[in-house]
Amino acid sequence: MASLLTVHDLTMRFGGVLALNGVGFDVRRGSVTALIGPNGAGKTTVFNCLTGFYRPSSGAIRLTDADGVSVDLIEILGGPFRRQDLRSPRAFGRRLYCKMFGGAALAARAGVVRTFQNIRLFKEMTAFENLLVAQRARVNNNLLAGLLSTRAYRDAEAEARERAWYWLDFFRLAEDGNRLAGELAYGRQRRLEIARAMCAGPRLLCLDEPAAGLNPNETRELSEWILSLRRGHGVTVCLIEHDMGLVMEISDQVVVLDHGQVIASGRPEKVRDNPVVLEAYLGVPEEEGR
Amino acid sequence: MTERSVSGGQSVGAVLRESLITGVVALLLFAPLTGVSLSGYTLEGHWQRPVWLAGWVVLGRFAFGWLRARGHLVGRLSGRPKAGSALLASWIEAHRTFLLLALCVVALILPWFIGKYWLNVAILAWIYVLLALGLNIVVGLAGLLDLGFVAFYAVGAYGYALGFKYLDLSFWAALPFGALLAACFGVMLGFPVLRMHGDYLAIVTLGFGEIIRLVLNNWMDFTGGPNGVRVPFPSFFGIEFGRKAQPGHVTVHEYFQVPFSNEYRDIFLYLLLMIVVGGLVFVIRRLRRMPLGRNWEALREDEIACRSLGIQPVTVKLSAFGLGAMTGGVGGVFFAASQGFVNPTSFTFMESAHILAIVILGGMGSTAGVIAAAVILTVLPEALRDFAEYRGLLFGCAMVLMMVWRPRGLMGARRARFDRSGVA
Repeated sequence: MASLLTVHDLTMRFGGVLALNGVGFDVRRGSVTALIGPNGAGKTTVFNCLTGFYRPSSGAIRLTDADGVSVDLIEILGGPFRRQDLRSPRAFGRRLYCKMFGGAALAARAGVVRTFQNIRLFKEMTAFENLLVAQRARVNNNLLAGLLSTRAYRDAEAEARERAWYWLDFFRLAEDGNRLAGELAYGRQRRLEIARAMCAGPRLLCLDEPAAGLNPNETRELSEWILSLRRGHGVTVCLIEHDMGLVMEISDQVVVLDHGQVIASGRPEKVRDNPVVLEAYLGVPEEEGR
Repeated sequence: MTERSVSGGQSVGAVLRESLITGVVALLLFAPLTGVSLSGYTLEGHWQRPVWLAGWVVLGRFAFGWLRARGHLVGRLSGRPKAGSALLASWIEAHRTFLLLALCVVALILPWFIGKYWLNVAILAWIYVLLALGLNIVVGLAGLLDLGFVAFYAVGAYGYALGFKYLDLSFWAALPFGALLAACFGVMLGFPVLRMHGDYLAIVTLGFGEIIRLVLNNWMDFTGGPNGVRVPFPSFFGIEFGRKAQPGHVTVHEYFQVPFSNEYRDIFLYLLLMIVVGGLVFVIRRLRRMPLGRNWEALREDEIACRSLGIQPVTVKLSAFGLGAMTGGVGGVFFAASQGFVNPTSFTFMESAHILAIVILGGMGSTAGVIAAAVILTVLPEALRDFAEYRGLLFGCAMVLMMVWRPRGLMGARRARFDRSGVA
């Protein structure tokens, strides 16, 4: 299976702190990849780089479609102008566009959609509206079409509503559709956030600690949902998670980060028995300490 | 205290007794305060004053207690926060169409009877409705705190005034011209402040408002500075509202063969404003259910989440600034047309604060609430001219009370409900 996402030699520097140091991994299309590691290992920083919220100091992130079209997820952040931009107006225009409108929004349009560790819903809007907002690409954004309520606009809206209902049903949130998102119970908010991400039509769904704060039952449901998203909806999933039970159960690949470096990666059972990983998590006896 | 005991016992007798006790206390209080006054070196007794006041207190106390005993509207002010307002809300909901229709009819009939002075107040109220609806887009929907909204009002007003002076624009040409000009200014302001939020944004917009006013005030050659600019009155399909028509035109009283009155012009403006506000309300209603309106609200809630879903904060913010400013510009054109003269003193920061107060009082994001607040905050100060010195105090008190009892404004924004067959 070809890889959907390639991360190569990713380095992120915040002033003097080296948050990521040469991180590299591949995510195969249709797989579930878990990013694990102790607190402060740089997992969320990797996510922020993937989804365009941070611009890495160096390295490459590339998203490759099934039909071979690939997007450079760093270029769309709009880097500093280079000298050769002056010679090619097209490159110049592209860079200017990315600088003005670039970043996370373009990454999301390329198909990398994420959820957040601390849930970020539109709290004063209803659950249903949350899902409608996410369907930016599908609805008719033409101002006049909307004001005049043209047929194309109405059709697009109807389709968006249908899709929103579909995802509400999928995550068993249908009865909460018209409630404010901020009023929902914590577990439901988590689900709603994933539903919202799915409404944005992701190719790579990045879940930042989706099981945090869920009880064992909810966690089990979550793992079923993630697996069925992968199977039934052609989504590739990349998740950060501390719940090892969940990680071992659903992931095809586990990438272990520590101090900004990949210390192990591979099949879950292989990673579980890796002494380096155990050392990173549990520490080493005093006399052998680094 | 004694108040509590009454809210438990619901009988009319208890309420009556309670109000009589209140009346006696009031009498005791008011007697020395208002019953005796110093005239020269002698004391004069005005025994009827404290009695009147105490009478009013008894009446008020009785009405309050009675309504509360019946679980009515006023009752919610103390004690039960939900019942009264929910009752009112459901009543309004049930009679929505009828109420709207009645309000429209009243608004249509009103200008013919209220006389010149109140007609001008009413026009001003409509203009404030326009402005507040415009600011509501920026502050209430998109969540961008704008303290310099008056700048766009000024741009609209001066767009008409200077457009007439230099380009000979008529009112009808100035309307779109002023609106577009204001929208351009809105986008111009929007660009540099794209990355700002909350307090920072508020300060920058405040500065922008002052810059516009200072430029208008000091650019003597172009704007006439503090002397202002004269603005022509609008005409209606070439029919003029003056006493004498320009050559080749007719006036409205000649056309309809009625005696001249300068009220016709104001009535015309009033009705026109009503149409414009009606159109704007329609547009905002649509917008709120459109992707753009949803994106505005989403941006207000969480900008980072918006970006993670592929929504460009840049375009969303600029569209909010642009459309809000455009509405402000239209308000400005109407203001200039109704006054016949503009100068920079009409566009001070107090004006911005007033519009913002309307939006907050009305309930951010709620169209009906904002309209109600605009009317109340424009008409009440005129009606209470005798208390002009206390206007600020009353304003402040109203704000504080609002924040305590109805932090979401007179009417909180209603959210669209959806069911499987479509929008419910």
